[in-house]
Amino acid sequence: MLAPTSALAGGRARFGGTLPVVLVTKKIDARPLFADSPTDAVALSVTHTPLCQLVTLSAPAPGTLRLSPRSGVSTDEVADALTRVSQAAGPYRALLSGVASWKKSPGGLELTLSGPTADLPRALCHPSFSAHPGPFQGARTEANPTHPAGRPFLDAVTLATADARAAERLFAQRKASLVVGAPTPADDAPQLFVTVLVFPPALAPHLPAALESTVDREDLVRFFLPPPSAPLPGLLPPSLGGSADPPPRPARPSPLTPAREVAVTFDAGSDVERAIAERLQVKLQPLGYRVALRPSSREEVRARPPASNELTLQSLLLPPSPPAALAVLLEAAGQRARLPQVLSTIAAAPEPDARARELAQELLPQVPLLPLATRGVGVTAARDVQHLSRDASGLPRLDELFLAPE
Amino acid sequence: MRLRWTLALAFLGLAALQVAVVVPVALRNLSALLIRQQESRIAQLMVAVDAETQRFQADVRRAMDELEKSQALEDVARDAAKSPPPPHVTTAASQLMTPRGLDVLALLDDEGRTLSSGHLPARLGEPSDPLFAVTKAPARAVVATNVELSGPTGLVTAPAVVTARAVDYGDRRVWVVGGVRLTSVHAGDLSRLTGAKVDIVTDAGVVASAGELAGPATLRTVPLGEVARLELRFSSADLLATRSEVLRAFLLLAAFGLLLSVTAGFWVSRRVTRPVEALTDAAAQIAAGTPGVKVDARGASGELKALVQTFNRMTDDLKAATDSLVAAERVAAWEEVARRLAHEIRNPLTPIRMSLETLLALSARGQADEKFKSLFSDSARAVLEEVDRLKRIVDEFSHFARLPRPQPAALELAQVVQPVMALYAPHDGLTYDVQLASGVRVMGDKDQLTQVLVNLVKNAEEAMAPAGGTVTVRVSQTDTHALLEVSDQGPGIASELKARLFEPYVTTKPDGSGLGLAIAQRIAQEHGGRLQALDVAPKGTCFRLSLPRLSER
Repeated sequence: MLAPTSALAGGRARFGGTLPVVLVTKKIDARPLFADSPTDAVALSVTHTPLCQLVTLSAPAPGTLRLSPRSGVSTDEVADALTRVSQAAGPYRALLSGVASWKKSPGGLELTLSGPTADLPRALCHPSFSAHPGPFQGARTEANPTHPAGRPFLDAVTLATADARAAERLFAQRKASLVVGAPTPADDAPQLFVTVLVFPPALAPHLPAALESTVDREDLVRFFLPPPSAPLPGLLPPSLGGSADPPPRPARPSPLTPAREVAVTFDAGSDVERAIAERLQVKLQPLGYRVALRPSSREEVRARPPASNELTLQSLLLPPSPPAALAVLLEAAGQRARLPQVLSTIAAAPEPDARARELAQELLPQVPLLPLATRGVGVTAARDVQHLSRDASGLPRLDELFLAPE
Repeated sequence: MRLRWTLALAFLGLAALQVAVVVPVALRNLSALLIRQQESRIAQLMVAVDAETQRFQADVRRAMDELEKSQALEDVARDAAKSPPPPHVTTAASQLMTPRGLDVLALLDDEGRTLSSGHLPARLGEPSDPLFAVTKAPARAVVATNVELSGPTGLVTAPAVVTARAVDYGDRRVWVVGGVRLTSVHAGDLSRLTGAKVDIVTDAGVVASAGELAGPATLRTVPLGEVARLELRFSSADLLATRSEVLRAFLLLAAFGLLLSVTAGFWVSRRVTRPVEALTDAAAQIAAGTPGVKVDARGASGELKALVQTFNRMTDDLKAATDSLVAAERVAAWEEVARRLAHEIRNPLTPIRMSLETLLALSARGQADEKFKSLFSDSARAVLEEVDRLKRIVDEFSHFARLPRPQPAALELAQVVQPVMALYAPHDGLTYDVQLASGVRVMGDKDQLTQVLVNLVKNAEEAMAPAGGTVTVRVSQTDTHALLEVSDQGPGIASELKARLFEPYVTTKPDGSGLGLAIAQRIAQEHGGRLQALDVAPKGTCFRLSLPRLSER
């Protein structure tokens, strides 16, 4: 279902046309390592393609994997994507867990494994591994005729940003045919954009108990996250088979005396994270926490190790694989040392995804991370936009769209 | 102290006294006036503050009234009444708040839970007790309360003025509580209005501040409900500066006034005292024997002019009287001299006549015997003696009458006396005690002064003969005069003789001419001085010659 479906459209698909797209955001940040908001991920997907679509994966020998670039893709592009993720500060480097090194070979890149990987074939579909070429290219984002998946039906895509009201107005005026990021009713598309709160282990057990007893994920989603969004009671979102049932709420701990000062670091460009941070101020104050707000750049949030009294809000796009998603979350929680054991356990299981889900449930009380909410990509399309499909991450596939004739 | 200085100092003292009395009183009154003006100005400004506060509350009331009647709020209230409220209700407060100039707005259900919050969206679903308490206030009242806000270091409370409106939809009620926070903007408005430093103070301290303050200040406090207060500090710097300026001006004026008083005092005192000083000098000259001294009356006026004119008339009269007296005395003196001279001359004439008549009688009898010869010889000798006596009388009188005018020169009196007294040595029981002060200078004729000294010493010697004694010669001085004193230890001068002592031909000695003291007195007078005979206790006489002192310069 998630594979390209150009064949289905072959009989009636129509080439040509320019698709005006409005992204509901203040600004676009289309860098692979930071494309973890719905709009940024969509913007990135216009000019980049995840490695899983650019290479074929094979195992020439035990402990070795080979990435063979498809036609039109350079080995260097692939190697650069791997290097970028492996050297990144932040949780996405966990996607390369189990990969010791790589080198060029006549057939592509030879990866030497040090242990079980975090479901590398599906992990490579994460936008952080995105590389050129994309379905569209150039300053005017015109169709790339040499895209490995084939030329898009559209001639070009125009990207613009607006707030939700302006986007709605543009859509009503037919100046936007596709609106991404606006509140829309939940559908069955994957919701892999998660927001979690990482806290220092030194603040346990009072802080986790305080958070669990007072932070209502339903309220967070209802009040502060645009739909489609959902509470995230466990490490893995429901889209990856994670539990949707809220955990039992612990007893409300008695307030700290004197009050403890903690800080919440969050992405200054994210209204959602700011709203959640302020909610934490309101919720934690009666329990004896004076919560300072520390808005920072997204790079700093990812790179800086948290201080002993610092809580960090992180918004991540999880890969469409339970083991890879679990690896990313453990890395975000500072539990990198657990990864080899966890991945080995998963790899040894007959049903790795199921085992990953079980482990996620087991590990939740043990890791200093509080899952809060998960989001999907809200997409509103005009009637003439045909064959709107989603990829494994829930992003709309613009390369498969075509416009119906007037 | 001279009258001029006395008057000038009196002027200065009077002016200083006025300054010392007037300046402190004036400054105290000025300070009180300035303080009253400052208090009055502050009172007016506080009225303006009160009006601004009322206007501020009226703005809140007007904005909330408009919101209450708006269709948008009705729509939100309708949807907020649904359970659960739709998502747009949660953001409604922000959208309703900003266009109306409010920065506090919350929609509360009838249990006080926040349905939407514009100032603290994180409060959604949570109770908001301070704002819900506003709904219990009298309807439409604008009250001050604390609102919670998200701050960089945690939740903070901030003072605000808010009012509540109830919006009913069906059987459910939604409370809308909105208003404006009291921030540095409002403090700034009040600061610009009043010129004061304005602080908005809560129990937690100063939450907003505006304006600068220099120097001491006057504090006024305006309570803002029970949660905050306005503190306005009105600078007293202008007041102090004005007082300093006025003080400086006062001191400058006082200094100028003092200078003017001194100058005027000197001028007036000089103008007033000049005739008095001229009168004093003239009186001194008259006392010194200068007749007919006139005082210039041009600088005088009023009583002083009359005094000067009277003085001048008096000196004229005095001169005329003196001249008449002198003339009369001169006539009398010469009559006395003529009488005495006649007496002196008549005395020898009787023996001469008798001798000559005896000789004529003998000659008529023709007796040229030895007795005639002897008688002729005796008579001729007696006639010759009387003729010699007459000649001596005439010579002395001639010397007295033709005494030359003195030829004055600057003299050290001791240097006149010392050579003369060096010629005297003790003899016949007489000794000489010479006491000479140096630096006693006079204008005088050395020969004539020497003659006076010799005459006085001769008189002293004759007064003590034959018993002898000590002749004391002393040169001394007073502030104005040089003194030459010659004292003896003789019997003194009879009181009946004292008045006539210096008249010619008055003497107690059988062979005295009676002209020595008269000559000495005349020389003294012609030197501008005076000769006096003083009694010396227990016995003796002191003759004191006083001459005007010549300044060392």
